[in-house]
Amino acid sequence: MADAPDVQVSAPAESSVEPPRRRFAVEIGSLIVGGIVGLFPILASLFPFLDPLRRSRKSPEFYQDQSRSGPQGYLRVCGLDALTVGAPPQRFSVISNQIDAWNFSPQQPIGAVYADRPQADVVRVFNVTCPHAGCSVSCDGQAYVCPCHNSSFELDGSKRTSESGRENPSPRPLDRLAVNESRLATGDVWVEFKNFYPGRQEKTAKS
Amino acid sequence: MKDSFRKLADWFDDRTGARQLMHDSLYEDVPGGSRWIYVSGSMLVFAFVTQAITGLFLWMFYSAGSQNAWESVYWIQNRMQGGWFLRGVHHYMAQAMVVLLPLHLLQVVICKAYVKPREINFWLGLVLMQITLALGLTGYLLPWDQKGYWATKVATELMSLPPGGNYIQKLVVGGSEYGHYTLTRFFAMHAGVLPALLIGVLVLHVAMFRKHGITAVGADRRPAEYFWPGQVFKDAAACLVLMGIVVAIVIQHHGADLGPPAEPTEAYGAARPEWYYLFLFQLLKKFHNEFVGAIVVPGAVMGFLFALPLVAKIKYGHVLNVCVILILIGTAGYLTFEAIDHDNYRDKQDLLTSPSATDLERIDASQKFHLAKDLANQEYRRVEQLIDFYGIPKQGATLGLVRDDPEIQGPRLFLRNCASCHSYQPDTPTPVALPGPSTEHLEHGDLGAPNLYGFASRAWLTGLLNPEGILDDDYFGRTAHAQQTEGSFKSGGMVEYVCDTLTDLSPQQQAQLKDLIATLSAEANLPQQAEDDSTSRSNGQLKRGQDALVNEFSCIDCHKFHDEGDLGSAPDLTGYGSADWLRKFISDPNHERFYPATDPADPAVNDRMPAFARFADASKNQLSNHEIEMLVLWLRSDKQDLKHWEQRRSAAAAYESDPVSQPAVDPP
Repeated sequence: MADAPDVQVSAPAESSVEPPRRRFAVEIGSLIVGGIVGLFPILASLFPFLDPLRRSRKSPEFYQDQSRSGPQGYLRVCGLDALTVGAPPQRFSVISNQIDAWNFSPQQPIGAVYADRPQADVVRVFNVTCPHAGCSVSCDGQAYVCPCHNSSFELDGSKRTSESGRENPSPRPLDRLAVNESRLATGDVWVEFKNFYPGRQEKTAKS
Repeated sequence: MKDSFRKLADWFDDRTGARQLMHDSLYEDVPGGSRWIYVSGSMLVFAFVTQAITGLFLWMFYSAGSQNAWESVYWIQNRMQGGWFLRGVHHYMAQAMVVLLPLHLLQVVICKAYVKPREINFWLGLVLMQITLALGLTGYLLPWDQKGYWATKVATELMSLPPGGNYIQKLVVGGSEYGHYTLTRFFAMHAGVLPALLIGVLVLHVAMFRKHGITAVGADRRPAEYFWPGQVFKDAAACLVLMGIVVAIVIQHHGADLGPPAEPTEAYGAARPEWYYLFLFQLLKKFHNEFVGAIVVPGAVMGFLFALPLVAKIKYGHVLNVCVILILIGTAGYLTFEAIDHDNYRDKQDLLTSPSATDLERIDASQKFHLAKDLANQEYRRVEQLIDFYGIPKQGATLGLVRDDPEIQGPRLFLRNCASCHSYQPDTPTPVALPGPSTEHLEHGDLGAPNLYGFASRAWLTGLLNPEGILDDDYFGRTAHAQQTEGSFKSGGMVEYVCDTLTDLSPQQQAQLKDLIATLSAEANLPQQAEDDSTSRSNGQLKRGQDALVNEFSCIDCHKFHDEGDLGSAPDLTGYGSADWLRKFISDPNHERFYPATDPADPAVNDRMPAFARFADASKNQLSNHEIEMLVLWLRSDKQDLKHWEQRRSAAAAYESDPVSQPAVDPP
């Protein structure tokens, strides 16, 4: 590239005076120094650009003290008595501290779940996010239906085949969330609330 | 492999003409050979490219808006990996550009590269200079901190000076008030309009430079060379040096400075433009007419610069131009130096043997400048602490954190409402000392009131209750209580008592006085003294002190103390210095509990302290309940522990909502 061999070069006569070895050293030097200088602004920007890949932040001190005493990693959804045995699923907001870049907002709705109680000692809780493309499912009492691409799920979360035989686009069942058993025994529904990557067969939690 | 690569290169070249383009840019003739003096233009291009790239990345994290701008910049600076470095590079590379601009101009003029046929290119260069300066001005506001806010406010207020200027100003600011639209406009200018203009003009500038070729120096004495590689190497090496300097400064300063968040109601006394605008700032101070200082003179200078190619046509015109450029750069340099020198004039205080009135004024102004700066630093550190503790709420740092923080509001309210009489002078380097009325240089009569640092603490009371102390400026020295008229203290019963009775105390009396002070100070329930108080309570000192107060020193002859003594002649000592006592005292010192105005002809019983919140209807009062609460919490605070003061804050909120029925109880 440096020699530009295909183009006729009308070099000024004097320039041939320069010894070739010296010229080569200057060329290499130019490329190296020019490269450093050219890459500098991009390198300076790279670390902040990659910042979102770092692990998530903690709540500020004041709100750490105030966090509700619950099992580690679980959030309270409702009291057990809010769920009638055999009734259709109900939708609940999940409340937790919200971190949005520089803003911290305590006790905000950060997501939603559907919960029902098919038997007295069984509580099923599902994340409302559709595992197909990340829309939000709703429940008509018979099934969970997604308004975006017609995914539908049975009340136990499994994929449903519609009566017309139309294909269900969801790659996996509705994402069921783990319920804390010891809290359930004392009459409260606490779930391990997580969001999962949509569009995949396996259920992978977002960190 | 090599063959297929060549084929690909041929394919690409057929469609783009890249080789010719590359050749044209590298094999530019440099008559007389490569020289170090030619590097300034390339350095400017390098600096601009750095600004464009780092600016684009900063854009990914910046949010224009008065509740977001400072907060997002704070996050870049403090929480994002390498964010401080990125912001620092953008900040200092901008300054490098402003330093390089006059050097480039100087090179162009000295090398005579501005005369026929290069006049238009010279003018384009001047336009580029204007755009760069405008980028600096718009960028300074974007962090929305106190210094950027107030400096830009001044700069844009000046835009309203020329005829029709108020319309221009409104368009620039995005309305008559500074806020969201000011930021969105400045940001659009800074990141969109101005860079686009700059790139456009730069392309023309470089194209025209290529057309006319380099203005060679010594072409007759040295062989010609191509631009590549000799000049490229020199340019790149110069850029590397520039980069090294900028990186060193960024690391040394840990990125660019960030002040506390903008507070439109709190003028910042140390508002200065970026240092490269200081010469304009200083120029403005020299002219009594702002229109002349801010517009006519800089306009005339700019006009002259545009006229340089024309001046060069006359005999000795070029020599004149070089001289004028040097004089202009020299003058700007001198004005910059002078501005910095005046801001640091207080350092000369001890060197000047017989300071003139001007010197004294400058020292005074310089002290105010540094006080504002120190306070801003203190505020920033406090905001850092608040953010660590509470996080940044959605309404932003100013509304969500600063407005309700006594450590920030306290000094501000004190300076505005109390410092015309009182001072607040800690005996430690932090917090920042707040001066009271100045007596050293300016005559204010004997106006003055006690130093309120550590009010009602044991140390403070120990200073008050001794004959030297009470007459000191830190206590009653400058109040009416200490004024002697016709041999007796004017309403100065306290001063008289201390001077007459508390001298030549026996060791036993001294111990009793110490007990008394402990007892009286315990009334204040100061958080930082809680441990001492509880020790003294359990070992009986408070009991002894009460006995000394009532019997030995018979304070109750004038003062009331719990069930002993009566109100009406001197301030109530029950709960002396407590939050409730202070609130009520600040609200109305003429109240029966404090300095009752028994004799209208002699208001000096309560010296000159105004009643800040005398009325039940809060709208009639000088200070709101919130402001009084901020002052009280700050005066009594232990400055550090946020957890501790969070408890007091809830009590304060209760008091603010219902000041009348709240019990006079201080939480621990």
